Amino acid sequence: MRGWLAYVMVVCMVLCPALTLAQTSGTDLQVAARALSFLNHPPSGTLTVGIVYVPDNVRSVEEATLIRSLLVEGLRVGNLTLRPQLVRMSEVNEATVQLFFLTAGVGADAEILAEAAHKRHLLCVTTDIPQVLSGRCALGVRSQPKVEIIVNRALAATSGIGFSTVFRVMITEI
Amino acid sequence: MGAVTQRFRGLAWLLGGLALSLGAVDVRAQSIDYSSFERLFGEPVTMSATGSPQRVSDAPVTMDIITADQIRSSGAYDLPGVLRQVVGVDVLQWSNDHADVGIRGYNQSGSARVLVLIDGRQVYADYYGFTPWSALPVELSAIRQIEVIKGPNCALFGFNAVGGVINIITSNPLYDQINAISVATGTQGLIQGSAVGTARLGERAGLRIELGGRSNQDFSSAAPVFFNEVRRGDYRDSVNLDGVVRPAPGVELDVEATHAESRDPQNTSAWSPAYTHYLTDSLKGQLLADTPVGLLRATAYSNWVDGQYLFARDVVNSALSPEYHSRTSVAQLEDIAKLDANDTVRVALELRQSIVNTSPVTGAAVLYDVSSASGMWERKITHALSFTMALRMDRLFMDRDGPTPPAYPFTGEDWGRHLTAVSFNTGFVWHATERDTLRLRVDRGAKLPNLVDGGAALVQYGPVYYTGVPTLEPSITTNYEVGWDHTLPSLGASAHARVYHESTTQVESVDGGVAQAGSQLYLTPANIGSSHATGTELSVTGGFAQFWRWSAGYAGMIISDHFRAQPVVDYFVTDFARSTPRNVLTGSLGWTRGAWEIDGFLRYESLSHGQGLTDLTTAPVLESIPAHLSFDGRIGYRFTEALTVAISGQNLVPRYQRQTAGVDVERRVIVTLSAQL
Repeated sequence: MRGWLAYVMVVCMVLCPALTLAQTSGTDLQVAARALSFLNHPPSGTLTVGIVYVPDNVRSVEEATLIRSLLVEGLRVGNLTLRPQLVRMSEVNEATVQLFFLTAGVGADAEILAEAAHKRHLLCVTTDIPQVLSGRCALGVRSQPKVEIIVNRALAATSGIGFSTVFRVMITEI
Repeated sequence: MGAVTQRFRGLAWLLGGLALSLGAVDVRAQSIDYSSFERLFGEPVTMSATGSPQRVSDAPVTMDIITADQIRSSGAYDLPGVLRQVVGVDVLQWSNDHADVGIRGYNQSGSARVLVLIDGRQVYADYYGFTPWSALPVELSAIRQIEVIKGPNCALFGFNAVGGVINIITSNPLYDQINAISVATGTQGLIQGSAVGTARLGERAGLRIELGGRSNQDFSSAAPVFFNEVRRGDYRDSVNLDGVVRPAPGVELDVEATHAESRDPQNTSAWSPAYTHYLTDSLKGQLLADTPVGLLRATAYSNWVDGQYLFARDVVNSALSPEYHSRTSVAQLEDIAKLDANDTVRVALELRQSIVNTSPVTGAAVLYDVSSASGMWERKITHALSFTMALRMDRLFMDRDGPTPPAYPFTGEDWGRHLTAVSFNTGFVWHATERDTLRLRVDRGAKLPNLVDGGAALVQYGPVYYTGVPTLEPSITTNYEVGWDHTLPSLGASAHARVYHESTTQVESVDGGVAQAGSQLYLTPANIGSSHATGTELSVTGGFAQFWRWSAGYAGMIISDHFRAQPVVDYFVTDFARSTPRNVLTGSLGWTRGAWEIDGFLRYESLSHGQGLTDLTTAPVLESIPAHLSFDGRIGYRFTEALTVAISGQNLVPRYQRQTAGVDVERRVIVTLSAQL
């Protein structure tokens, strides 16, 4: 019952038209980077972010190109710097990255990423919130109209990923 | 006293055992890093609403946050000067360094309804039910935000938070590198210095040191002859050491020691001026750990507050001038846990003891022991709708230690009584649209009698016999409130509206009763009846044209008092209905461009009344305080990234202004040189 309510909560938020189709922005990436500092084992230094896309999905390719352009100079937040690396969905098991960023619109193809992230104990971040609801990506972020952070607790836990209590109290968990 | 020592020795063992046991558990301690969360969410965060970390937009209470930037641009040199620019906050300025601060009216001399804390440690003086603002051991440049909560919030903070809470949050030496020095000079012979330094010892330890001092003369406004006896200059100095360390992975320990001293004229709760001397010392330890069962926090602190009150010597003998030595010790244990995606809970236990000597007739002490249990549950019903319920029970045991004097209406056994107070805070927060948030709350809070009114005051001199009594009942305040927040992106503004109704029963007055011992009559405090208030607050804030910022606010309030007859004269000194201005307007306009920063603040208060000053040989008389408009301002120029000079002023026009029934407030102009290192 509680899980159902949580699902409805987030779906209600996500179905606002202004939100579902918005492109990932630089502010979204900043929110994601800041959220990493609240991991139980926060990263520092330079982190290579695998921008995961599906080559024959136009929207996914467009978003991957956009995100790479936003990160190409390096996104520095505190003592963490994010650098991009494009990763095809079929290559997620071999990519030399420390974090995955899932592009929007890949649908069920994200199951491949979910399995790889689980096996490799890597965090998956996305602005495509339905992927978090469906259990394919652990962390969802958006910055407009208000900063929202959604964590799929079960998925994060099975990947050995956890956040501090203070952080968890202030975000949405499903 | 031995029982208290044993209690705190036990707590020390508990904390030590907790620290050792936590070493065996995978824990991740993280005290709330306000700066990081504020950058993450793009808005302030707080723990003062429910005890659980929250974004201010999600808090189920009416809260104003004063940021460090706003403190700087206010031009104020002390905390009351900053707070008077907040709509709904009332400041009675009795002298340059002494003021009483109230929230939503009910502000009188020795305001007892607002609980004031620094980083969660109570600095409100239990023994007399007031806050010695000049003797608070905090420098303005060390403050990262001031949280002003309006309405009762006793379920989290305990009794006495019936009017509201002011929680002063300082920088954390682990996260915030604050190094600042300032010197100031101004009218009334003002000389002030302040320094804050932060040292980081690797990634695991930090130490912050604050030093401050101030010397100035009092207002030169006309005053009764007896008042001049207490115009002996205003002085303040303070030191604060705060160290935070992570002794083991995942464990955080915070230890703080403070000392402050102040001397200044004060209008006491007897409506007679006294030259006061306060010494405040504190020692605090806090252990924090993020565990599988939630965020555990164990806190223990002791406050020592000494207050000496010298009434006008030419008029009365110093036998009427009390000197109190008080200690309040608190031990708290709490856990905050997120049970599942939608439910967050907080449970807490607290032990408290406060003790103070009787005075001016000495030889005994009055004390109370309080055991408290509280809980909070926050439920996210939907993404947009949440409900919070907080409940607290305080069980107080009052006692008196020492002999009673001859011809006294009470025996020591009269103090051996228990009081139980139940408080709650409930509220809904509904984010109705992306721009609209509605709040509905119902609160109940208890204000317990302070120890002076509860028996520590003991005067036997000439015709004046006065005593505190063991028979006072707690005042209970119930508040009903609806609120609406609305953002206006096209104007770069936000608007807020509140409507509330508040009822208080068992209102206490210092002159409320009489007690008799043989033929000797004592004047005493007593519960005198009830009071009801209905009010509204409206405010808008915004910016325009890139460089400008503005705000406007209105607070309207109507109070009706329902008191029984006073036993000696035909009125009580307590008169909330007439002492609270019905209409208060505030406004501000600010401009920043390049190295220049200019800010102005207006405050209008409608007609009100107040008890006039007395030399204790006559009863105070209610006097009118005409409507008045005051203006504060600041012009700052930044020479370099580190160095700023500013000229600021309070109550700039006219030179003297009647704002209280005390002496007229005098214009103050200050020049400040500050450096951020």
